[in-house]
Amino acid sequence: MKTRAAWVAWWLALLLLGGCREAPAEREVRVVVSGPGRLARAQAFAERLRGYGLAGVRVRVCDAEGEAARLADCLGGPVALYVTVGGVETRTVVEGDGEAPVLYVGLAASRDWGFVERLSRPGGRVSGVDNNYAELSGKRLQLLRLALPQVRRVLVLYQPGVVPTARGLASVRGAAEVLGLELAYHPVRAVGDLEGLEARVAQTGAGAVLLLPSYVLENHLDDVLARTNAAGVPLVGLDAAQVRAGALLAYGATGTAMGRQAARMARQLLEGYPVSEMPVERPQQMSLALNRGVARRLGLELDPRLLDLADEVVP
Amino acid sequence: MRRASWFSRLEGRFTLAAAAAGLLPLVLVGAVAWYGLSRSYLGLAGARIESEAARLQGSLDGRLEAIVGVLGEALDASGDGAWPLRFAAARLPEVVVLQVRDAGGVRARWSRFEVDPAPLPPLARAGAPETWGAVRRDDWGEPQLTLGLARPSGRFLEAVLRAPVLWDALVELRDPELHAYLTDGSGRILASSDRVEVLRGERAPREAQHSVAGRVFRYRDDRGAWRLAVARDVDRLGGRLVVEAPVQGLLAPLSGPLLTLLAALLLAMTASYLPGWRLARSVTRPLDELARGARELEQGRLERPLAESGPPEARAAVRAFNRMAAELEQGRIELEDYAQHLEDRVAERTEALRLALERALEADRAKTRFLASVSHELRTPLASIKGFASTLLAPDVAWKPEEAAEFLRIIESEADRMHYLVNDLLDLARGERGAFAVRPAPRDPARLLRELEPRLRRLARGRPFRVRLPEGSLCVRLDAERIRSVLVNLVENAVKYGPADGEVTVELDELAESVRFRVSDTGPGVPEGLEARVFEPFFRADDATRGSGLGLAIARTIVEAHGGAIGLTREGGRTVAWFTLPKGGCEDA
Repeated sequence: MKTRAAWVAWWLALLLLGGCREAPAEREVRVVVSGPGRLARAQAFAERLRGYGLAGVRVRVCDAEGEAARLADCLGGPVALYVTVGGVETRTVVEGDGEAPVLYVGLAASRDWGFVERLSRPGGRVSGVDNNYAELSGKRLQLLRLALPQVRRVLVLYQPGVVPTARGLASVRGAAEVLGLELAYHPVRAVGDLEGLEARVAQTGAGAVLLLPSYVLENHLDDVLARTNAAGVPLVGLDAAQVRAGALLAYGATGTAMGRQAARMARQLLEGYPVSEMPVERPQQMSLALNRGVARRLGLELDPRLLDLADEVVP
Repeated sequence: MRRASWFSRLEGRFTLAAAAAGLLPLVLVGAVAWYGLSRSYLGLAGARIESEAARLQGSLDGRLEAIVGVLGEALDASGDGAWPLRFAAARLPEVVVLQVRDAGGVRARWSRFEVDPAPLPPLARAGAPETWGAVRRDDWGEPQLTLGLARPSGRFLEAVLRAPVLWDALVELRDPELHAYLTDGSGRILASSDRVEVLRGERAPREAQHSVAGRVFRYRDDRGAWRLAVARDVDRLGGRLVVEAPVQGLLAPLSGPLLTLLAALLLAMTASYLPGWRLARSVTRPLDELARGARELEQGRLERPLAESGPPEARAAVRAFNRMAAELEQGRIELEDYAQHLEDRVAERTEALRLALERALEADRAKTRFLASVSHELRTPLASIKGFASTLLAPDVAWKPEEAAEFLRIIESEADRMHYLVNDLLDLARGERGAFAVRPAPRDPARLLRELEPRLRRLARGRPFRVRLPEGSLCVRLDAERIRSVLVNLVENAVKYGPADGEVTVELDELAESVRFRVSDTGPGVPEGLEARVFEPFFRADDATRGSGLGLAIARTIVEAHGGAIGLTREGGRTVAWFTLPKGGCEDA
């Protein structure tokens, strides 16, 4: 009788403990976005990570809506993983008080930011997908040259004070020298600096405008496009999304592809892989996008051989 | 060594042996079946792995050949610049760099990240057609495959491709239980079928590098689990393609049904053992009980009756045993009781005999003393009578009449003394045999004492004499003559043994249920411890004292014949002789 009672008590205790066991705590993956220009990366990332169906993982996108000062509002609270979509977002999170790992989705010039010690072994709390946008600036210039051989002068639109700008400018200068192009520059520290863009195009006689990576320029692309269209010159953008928005040409990894690539890395981090040992990856796929409608509107004739090379052609 | 109780209980039972005998073949059959089936199953799995490895290798080689074909087209078309390379790159999304070289340097180049150099005029150089491959890692740690293609003209093309080109081949692995990976020449993993990601330096096991190509081999992984694998050489990479699977996973489809079968067999055997075990228990349990009972009886007694169980024969045996044990127990109890009482009775009898012996010896000594005393008491007056009679009858002496009269008075006095002595002896003898007769009648003892006071005072012979009586009248049934003789005797003793001027006091007290006479004097009394013996016949505290020694014995006889008590005590330097008489009995008077 005593034995039976002991067994019953044991099973009751197990049931009680099982019933009282605390449910696994929910882990939050917070995606920090500076503005709409980079929102596609965040959405692609969130969609793919949710698709993995990880138990107890919640993805929240915090959008500063183009105001960098509001990025700090996205910090704090229990966060298992920060996901950033660019350099300024990554710097804001790294300079915050948190200890959670940081995964960036499309960052230009990773080593120049100082977030990682080595690309193959970051060594800190930051890793991610480097979009190579700064290094690709020269390549974009070359593709512009192939697309519009008649263009001899290009206006480079850049944001001073952001880390990738130096590397991007160096890449552009080197390419221009090889390609025999002349460059003019228009720095944009804030949106207001775009107001003189048409005049600057006219002043320099530039046949095209080349965009360098910048959160200000990316988040106010419509303003840039409006002004380049007004000036009657094509814009060379960063990725296919900008071509779809109105740029003539772009070469680089799409935000969607990088978001999906980063989601795979995020899953590994959430499963316990140490961020300090997770290598920085380059985009697995880069695409050349052309917008024939823009070319037509501007009265430009694209080299048909380039159209054969393009991964995406917007009619 | 003492064995465990549970083992002792099981020992000797054929159920355990039967269970073991039944389980052993089951275990052996299961082990043999498991060994044979697993060997066969693993053989089939090995063939499956070999087949999949061969298919994957063919697919990978085909992809590489296709890439080389694209490169060949680009190389042949690249004489006028980089455009053909760009088109080739468009067909090969994993290409990072394509460049045509010859002895003079790079003639055409296409890079996915860098600006292409300006095209140079081609240079021709004879040479044999050739292809080659190698793997290296870039600054990012990413493995990159370099494929080379040379033409007899001396121009050759190099293509650097990123890892995803290898993934496409590996993900064609159809069997979900298998896993494939590619290694470079140093044994580092380039790509894995289950990890579509960039791999940076993970090493394949040594066996994957050193096993015979195309043969199934087995090895333990980092966690100690066995894995079955086949490795095949990929010449273009200078590495190996490995297809493998965990042995446990391969055997999972087999182990489940086999374990279920064994469990079912075990369950069936257990179910069949249960009735047999119960039957055996029904026989062995009574035997165990009998053995226990025998052990307990051997040690002295049966603690509790044996439990009846099992078949009727066993129950009958247990009942007979219980009856036998009960009878033995009853006999043992009676025997113990008898032995215990026998000892008590022997002790009682021994004590009674000892007391009887002591009494007999004492009686004998008393008789001796009595005879000696009687002889002495009778001889003394007889000697005096005979002496004076002989003197008077002497023929040679003419006695004067007054002298003869004096002698005759002495003779008479001694004769009286002998008479009193003989009367006392007769009274004492009657008292001893309980035939001493008193004739009590209601009397006032105080009045008796007042009447006797003059005589007692005379007996005091001038000593201070005092009588103290209670006020009022009393009534006691007593023989007045006998009680007077007791009082006289006590006063004579007080006078006899007290000092010449010592006071003699006679008192009468009324107690709750009796009256008490007390005669006290200032004499030394009798030595301590002899107070009771003074009432024995012929007892004298010392030989110097006078008297027959019968007075106090007769007094005790008289008092006890009245139902009273008599004694001698010392109180404050005085010797007190006392006796009591019970009150009552005067109502009829």
